[in-house]
Amino acid sequence: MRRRELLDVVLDRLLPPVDELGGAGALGLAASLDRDPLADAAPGALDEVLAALPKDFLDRDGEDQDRSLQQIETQQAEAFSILISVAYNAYYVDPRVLERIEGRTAYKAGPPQPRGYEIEPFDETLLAQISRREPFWRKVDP
Amino acid sequence: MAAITREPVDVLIVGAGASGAAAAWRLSEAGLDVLCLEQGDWTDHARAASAEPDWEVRRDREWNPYPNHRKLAVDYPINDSDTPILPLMYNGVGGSTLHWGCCFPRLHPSDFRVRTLDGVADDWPLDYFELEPYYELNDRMMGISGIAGDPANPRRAPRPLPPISLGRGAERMAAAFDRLGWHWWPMDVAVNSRPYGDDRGACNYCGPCDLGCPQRARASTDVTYWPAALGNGARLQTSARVVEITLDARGRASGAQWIDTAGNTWHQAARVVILAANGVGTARLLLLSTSRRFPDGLANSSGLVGANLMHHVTGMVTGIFDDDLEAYKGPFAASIFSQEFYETDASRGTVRGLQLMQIRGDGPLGTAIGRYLPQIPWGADHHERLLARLGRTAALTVTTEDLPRPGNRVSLDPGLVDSSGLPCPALHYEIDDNTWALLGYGSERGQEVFSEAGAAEIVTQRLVPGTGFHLLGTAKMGDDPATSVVDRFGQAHDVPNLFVVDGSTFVTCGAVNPTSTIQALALRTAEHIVEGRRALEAAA
Ligand SMILES: Cc1cc2nc3c(=O)[nH]c(=O)nc-3n(C[C@H](O)[C@H](O)[C@H](O)COP(=O)(O)OP(=O)(O)OC[C@H]3O[C@@H](n4cnc5c(N)ncnc54)[C@H](O)[C@@H]3O)c2cc1C
Repeated sequence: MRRRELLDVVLDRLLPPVDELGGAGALGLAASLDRDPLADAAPGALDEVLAALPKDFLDRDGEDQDRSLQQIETQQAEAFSILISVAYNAYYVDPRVLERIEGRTAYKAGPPQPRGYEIEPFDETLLAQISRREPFWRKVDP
Repeated sequence: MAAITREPVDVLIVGAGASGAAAAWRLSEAGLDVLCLEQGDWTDHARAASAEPDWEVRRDREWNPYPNHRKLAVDYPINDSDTPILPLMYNGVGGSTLHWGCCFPRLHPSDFRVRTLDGVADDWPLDYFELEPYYELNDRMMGISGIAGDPANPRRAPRPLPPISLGRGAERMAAAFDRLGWHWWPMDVAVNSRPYGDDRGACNYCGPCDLGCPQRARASTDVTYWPAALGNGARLQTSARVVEITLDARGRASGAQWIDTAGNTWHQAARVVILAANGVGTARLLLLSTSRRFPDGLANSSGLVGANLMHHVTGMVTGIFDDDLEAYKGPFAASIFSQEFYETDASRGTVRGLQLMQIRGDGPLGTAIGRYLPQIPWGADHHERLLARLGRTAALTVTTEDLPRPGNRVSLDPGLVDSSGLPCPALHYEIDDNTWALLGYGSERGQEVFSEAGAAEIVTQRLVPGTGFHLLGTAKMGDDPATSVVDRFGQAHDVPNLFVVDGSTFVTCGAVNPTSTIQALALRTAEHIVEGRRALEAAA
């Protein structure tokens, strides 16, 4: 229980709420972190980060929590980088996150195939200047 | 366990990648009985990872180009503790073209004459113009999109397909190259800009070519050469890991021993054996194939099997722009290139040169995690910084000519084995001063052109370790058996019915992506074998 609670708060600090979207913890992404093969490949990495948090981490304010995390990022860099990778992996495949990005860019939230993208066709006039250049490849005697 | 013996074939090919597929097609076209053994399997493009919601995560798992990270049973681990470059490849029908960026430039005429012109390395025993008809044939078979007329290269035939769309980033950069008076041109790419052939559609600009292509627009050889070769009657045995090339009493290749996934051992007899397992896999197999006659590895009387490994050491300069370039649209590695700095220029203090090649942008996860750029930091600013980068980047790779050095090599690792218990390769590689200087020079030119293009921020990585895409030089071609492994047709000096058609035979590597040259050489070798056979038949 406490582990999950801690992870939720940590995730909310790493990938905080934005616009109408909750933070990564509030989005319920903690559960998928342990299922990431990266976490599997480095067993204990997530727990190492959680264990390094100060006992009163949950009671601290946000800025203080960030400072604790920054300290662990420096001191236990390897374990922390695994946490970041699995957190980003979970966050950036979540449809709610991708829809928010779609709302702000031309990026499309679903998988790239089979829909693809519309794109301006090749414009041959771009070659106007370079096509006037004489061939300059280095000649070689046969 | 005794091997199960199979009836001899005319030609046995090891490896179904870029070169093995091209050779199989040409040989089967001439009516030869061809069998290819491939350790991997077919890819179902209709179920490509790019059609899955978690496609960006899969890019780092089963579709990661680095076999030591991917760790599929069909892969073999590589000890890369003695090299700064991560070796990248894919094992399956199509080989590394299942993963590639599809850029299809050619070597220059000067690349075949570096000893004569610049006093370094060795000249090739053939020249560009001997290879040209095979380049053209290969372009038609693969389906190349591009436009003829590039002043940096010899004239070539009209491209089979018009250029793909460059996208906003490349258009922006092209204008900057123009203002600096530097060369640029749309890259010849193995991606269909229009439908091509019977069942290959046009690119829909989805972005990640490295995850399979449901449109079959990206030319991996499982959708180009293989259907044609199989149609000719060639056979392809998948999940077949070759363990050793076997010899007859006269010291000629008699076939290959291979293991299936159930652990059964087979012997496939053949009149001719062709190795197409890439610059690491072929060297490994030759070194594994020891005998009383060849105690140091097959065809290795020169001692050069495994030596002269070349990669094209690569740097990268990325421009981050204020405006939205929609950089995630379009084939990630294919747009424009510059060969302004391709040739030796004494004033730079270096020999040989480099190519700048533009690549497009990543999706949200790749951007956040920093596949090619520094990671976006976590915390309060994360979301804003992500949006400031997503789709707003353009990058130039700096591909340098990597001159051969005997110490840069593939050997067999004494301890490491693959899933079949077979010894694995170890790579030993050092970047030389010339390459390091070329990387520096190329990075500076990259910065200059990004400044000219108005990039708000420029990030330079002089060396990108995860770029060992090109595996070349480890069974060098030459006329002299004392200083080369194979002759000008890829025929082993020591074993007359053994040929190598992959990038192992490269004498030098220029500063361009190698696959169009690898395949052109494979077609030429195949034609040589066909002609040899015709001559024999005529004599008989
Ligand atoms: C990420 C990436 C991007 C790339 N981008 C480009 C690009 O844009 N342009 C370009 O020109 N090149 C590019 N390349 C390189 C290109 O893919 C290779 O040059 C090309 O595929 C090499 O062809 P090959 O036939 O030598 O070997 P491969 O295509 O690697 O095929 C070798 C095959 O042999 C099989 N094999 C090996 N050992 C055995 C064995 N013992 N038994 C049975 N089978 C075996 C393997 O499974 C594999 O399928 C890229 C490569 C990668 C990884």
